[in-house]
Amino acid sequence: MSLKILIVDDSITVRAVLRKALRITNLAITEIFEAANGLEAMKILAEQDVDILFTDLVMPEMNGEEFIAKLSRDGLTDRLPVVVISSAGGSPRVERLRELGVRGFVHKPFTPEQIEELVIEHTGAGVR
Amino acid sequence: MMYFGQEIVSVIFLDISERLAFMFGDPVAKEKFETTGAPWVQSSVSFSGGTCGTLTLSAPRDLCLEIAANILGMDPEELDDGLLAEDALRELLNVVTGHVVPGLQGEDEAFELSVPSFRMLASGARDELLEDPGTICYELDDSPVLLNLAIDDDAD
Repeated sequence: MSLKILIVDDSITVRAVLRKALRITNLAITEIFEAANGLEAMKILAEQDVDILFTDLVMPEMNGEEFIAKLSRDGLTDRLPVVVISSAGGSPRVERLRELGVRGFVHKPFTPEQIEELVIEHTGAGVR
Repeated sequence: MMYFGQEIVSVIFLDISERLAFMFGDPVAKEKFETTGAPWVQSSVSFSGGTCGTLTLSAPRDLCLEIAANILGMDPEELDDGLLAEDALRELLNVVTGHVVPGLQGEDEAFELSVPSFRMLASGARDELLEDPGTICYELDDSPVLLNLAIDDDAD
């Protein structure tokens, strides 16, 4: 299985680190897309089939929670694994996000191993 | 003397700096704190929930480039993008704040964070910040850094 992955975060540093973390795993990755907020991500999702999506919560334009709520309303969270990587949190929020269909939650900072495990767990992908 | 929340902030800031940016530091007494003539920059994040306030991180701009390089696993010389330095400071503060707020109000309470702001910091403003009782001084990889915690008075 070769993966297409979408990273949604307003921080260019986080996008670069996450891209790097994904590249050093043994996962077979075809393409990594990047978006700086929920609106940009929606445009990418309209044109691309993505296997897993990592999103931040605190972002300008359309924040992560609004973005996930939109995905949930559109029924996308049923087939597209959504993993939140964020500094914002608190147990009530995590619970609310799970009800919207979020499959995983990572509190920053993250490690490449965490990311690899999440991809394998939620896509069924094997390592190369 | 440490004010409310400063001990939590101090421990978390050093821990996150180490884990995210591979930088090591120590608190420094204000009377021994030495600033440099280099330009300084500042990022702030507001938080709201059971506790409301603002966390502000100020540092020489050169240090931000090192933070960016360390996070990305590159040499500072490889980074000629000023935006990355700005972004790295904002992200470091964002992650620190995300750990500080649960430390202040407890894990079971929801909270919101603002998008981190960024600005250049004039030397006068830096000196004022140094006088603020909510400011903690650090040396991070031998570079001076100021971290300020301001808790809103009307917060529960």
